[in-house]
Amino acid sequence: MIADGSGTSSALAPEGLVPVPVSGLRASSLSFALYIRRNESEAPQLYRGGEYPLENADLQRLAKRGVETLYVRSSDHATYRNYVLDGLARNDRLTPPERYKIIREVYRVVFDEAFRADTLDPMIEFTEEIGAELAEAICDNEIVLGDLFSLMEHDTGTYTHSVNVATYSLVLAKALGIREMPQLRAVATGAILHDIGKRQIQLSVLAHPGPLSPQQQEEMRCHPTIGFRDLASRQEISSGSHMMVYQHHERIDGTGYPVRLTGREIHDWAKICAVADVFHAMTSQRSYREALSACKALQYLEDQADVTLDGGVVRCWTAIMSNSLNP
Amino acid sequence: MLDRDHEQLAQSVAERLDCQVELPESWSGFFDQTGWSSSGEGDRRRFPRLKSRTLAVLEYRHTLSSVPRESRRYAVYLKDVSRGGVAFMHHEQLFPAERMRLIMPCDKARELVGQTDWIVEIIRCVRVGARCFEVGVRLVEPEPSTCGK
Ligand SMILES: [Fe+2]
Ligand SMILES: [Fe+2]
Repeated sequence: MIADGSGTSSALAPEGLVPVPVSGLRASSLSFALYIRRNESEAPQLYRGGEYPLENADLQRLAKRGVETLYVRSSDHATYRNYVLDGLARNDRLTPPERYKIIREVYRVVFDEAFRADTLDPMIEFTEEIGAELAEAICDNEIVLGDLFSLMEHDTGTYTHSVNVATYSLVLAKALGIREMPQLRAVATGAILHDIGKRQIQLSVLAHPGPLSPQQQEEMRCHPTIGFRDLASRQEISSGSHMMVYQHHERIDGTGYPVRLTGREIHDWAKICAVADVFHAMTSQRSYREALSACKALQYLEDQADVTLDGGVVRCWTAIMSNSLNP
Repeated sequence: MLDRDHEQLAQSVAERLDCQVELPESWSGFFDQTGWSSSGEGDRRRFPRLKSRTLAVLEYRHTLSSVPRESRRYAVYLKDVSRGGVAFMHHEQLFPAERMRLIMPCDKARELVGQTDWIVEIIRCVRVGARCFEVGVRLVEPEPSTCGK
């Protein structure tokens, strides 16, 4: 079983170490050291030096003891990611959803750290890496969205939200006829970054339980502009990805923000991102309300088709989801 | 003297350019308003704003890879000027972080910000009508080609 978000929370990670799910490890040689935490009150200790291989018997013992999380040094995380991704490439027994879930877990901790970092550089680096991996995992395989939907987490954490919106955006983009891998990667990058401007929003507003006051709402509404401005000089990010960041809260009837654009003024990828964003927001649990069922969220989207959201994108999404939920 | 020449030139350029902004009907008194803008509750602007309702020249520059721009001049309607920035009305949207040249043919602007020809950076842009966007800019630096004039 793959450790869930709480099992790999970076909040539990001691200085300089980052948690990694045991499910991503396999019997093989390693080129990074693994650490284990025997109980909550103790600092992690060396479990296996990088020069010793991990064996099946080790993995079985860990499973028997219920250990789902080990740690690697932050500086070894890139090596660890390559090891996991290399393992995925060699393993043809994994189903597409299993592959997808491992990719999600591999990036969780580094993404959270990069999101909190002072500069955007690590974030951009990880986003491009995750974007490429997700695009391949989702678009190279005939993946059934219903299988993914039941596997995905439905909390409002930044990582979950970013990756879910990217996953839905990719599925939509492909269904709407975007076939070239560089474009699909750019869609994934834009979707992962779409809320990057929230880095600059006060935590008291971001984590506010319940509906926001008008003043808090005004502050929150700055996030697309902040995100676009912060990424503006990044030439490695495509124009479409930039527009996903800037325009994902615009609505075709001009009721959105920050500019109040209408219909054709909104970039097609931003329209895709808007549908993915609303769908994930509605199907995720908030501190002040339960998550809505996929059916109820789809009903809401249908009501908004050609009113606030692009009708073509909504209809494409409802068709995919309905097929996936009732095959 | 050179300042005065520059202002007159800017004024005539602005008048010759076709201003494509369509102000909302409810803004019929736009050009009659003068004086200081009253800050609304929760207004976090650092400096008071002087209503300066006149034509100005906006010269496009291509500064963002994601937003193609050709070098062109447009007439825009100035709305107000403060020590930190300017608001004007334009017929199409501009994007945050774009940098352009803004030439303001108005004495009041010079009194407030020292000179009238600036490189500005777009901070925000909000639609107020079909062909009318309110654009807020920050004054970055005096336009280098006119520095010292
Ligand atoms: Fe957003
Ligand atoms: Fe979002």
